[in-house]
Amino acid sequence: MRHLALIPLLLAFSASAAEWRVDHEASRITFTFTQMGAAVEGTFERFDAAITFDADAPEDASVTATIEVDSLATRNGERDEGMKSADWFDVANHPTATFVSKRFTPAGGDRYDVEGELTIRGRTRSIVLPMTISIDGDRARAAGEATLDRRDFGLGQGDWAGDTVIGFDVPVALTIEAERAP
Amino acid sequence: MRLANSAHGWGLVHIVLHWATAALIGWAAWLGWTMTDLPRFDPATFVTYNLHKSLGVTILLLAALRLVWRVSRKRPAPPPAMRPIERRLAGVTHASLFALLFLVPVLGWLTTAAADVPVDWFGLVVLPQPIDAAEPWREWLEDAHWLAAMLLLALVALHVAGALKHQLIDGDDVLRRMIVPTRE
Ligand code: HEM
Repeated sequence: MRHLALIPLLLAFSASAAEWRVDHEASRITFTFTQMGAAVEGTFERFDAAITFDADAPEDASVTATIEVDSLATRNGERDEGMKSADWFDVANHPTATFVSKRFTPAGGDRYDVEGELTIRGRTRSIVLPMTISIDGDRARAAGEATLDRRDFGLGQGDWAGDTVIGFDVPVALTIEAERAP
Repeated sequence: MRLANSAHGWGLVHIVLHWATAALIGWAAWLGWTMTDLPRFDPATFVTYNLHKSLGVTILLLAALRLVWRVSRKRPAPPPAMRPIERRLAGVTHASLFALLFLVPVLGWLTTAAADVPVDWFGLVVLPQPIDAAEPWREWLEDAHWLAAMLLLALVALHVAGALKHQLIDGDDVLRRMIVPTRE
């Protein structure tokens, strides 16, 4: 039973891995897709994330992010509605997209490769998000970019399957600012 | 057969530009008229709209070429039998047609830019957007583009009626000389 003695220690340790609250004003999720060969930008206006991160213990870091797909905005109301329809994000059946991290691998300095499972439109894929995470007192800033293939998530059904009008590659950029939870 | 215009008639370049513009206006207007009834968010619709825009931008390019060609070359005189009022009407019609050849495509381009939808000119060149996305302006610009296009088509009808009057009633060579390039 001597291991029991470790429990308070473990608890103390996990409590020390800082938790963070997303500053929604300063955080953005943008995606860029090509329409007729030109880049068009969109954002998800509403999302939240449970973040645990301590630069001294990256092995304990974790992120669970939830995006409200209905908050998609591309500066064209008709296109927004089209993107929410069944052929694309199918918001009616899949109102949220989620990212659940599995592992933060330090990649030198303030860079980390964040591995995790991304679920969009009910399909889950493992992805690696290279992120830069910097902490200044009680404020943290994380930024990263990854290019997704919309076909991996079944985005663009039926006549949209080809890339004549909308391309397959979709770079996604995250800028998350967070406050240390008290 | 001359390429350039002369005091005796139109050259080949002017004639080709004229009929190419006429054909493009017909095609662009037909697409413009029918495409707005297509399903709104559908890849085939985007391709059709893009063709409409490509044709319209080509009309704009040809209009610019015509302007350069027109101001820098000689031109044949109107038939001497034309009365001053007829000359004025023809002059005003031509000037308005010319202005609309610029105005209609420019308004179309502004419409698509306000909607944040790019123009991929015949799949060859993605054109820069003249203005930033502006949803509130979109409907206004759409209406302006439509109105200008209707005015253009009305003037084209007047223009065609004038050409037919020259041909069938006056019996002069105004229509013929827009078909056969001058030799001298
Ligand atoms: C002389 C050239 C052109 C003609 C005669 C023309 C004519 C038309 C007509 C008749 C319509 C239908 C309007 C309606 O029913 O609402 C239309 C719509 C449209 N045109 Fe053009 N057009 C021309 C050039 C262009 C250009 C150059 C562009 C863009 C670069 C363009 C973009 C559009 C767009 C986006 C619409 C759809 C507006 C909507 O959704 O209601 N057009 N055009």
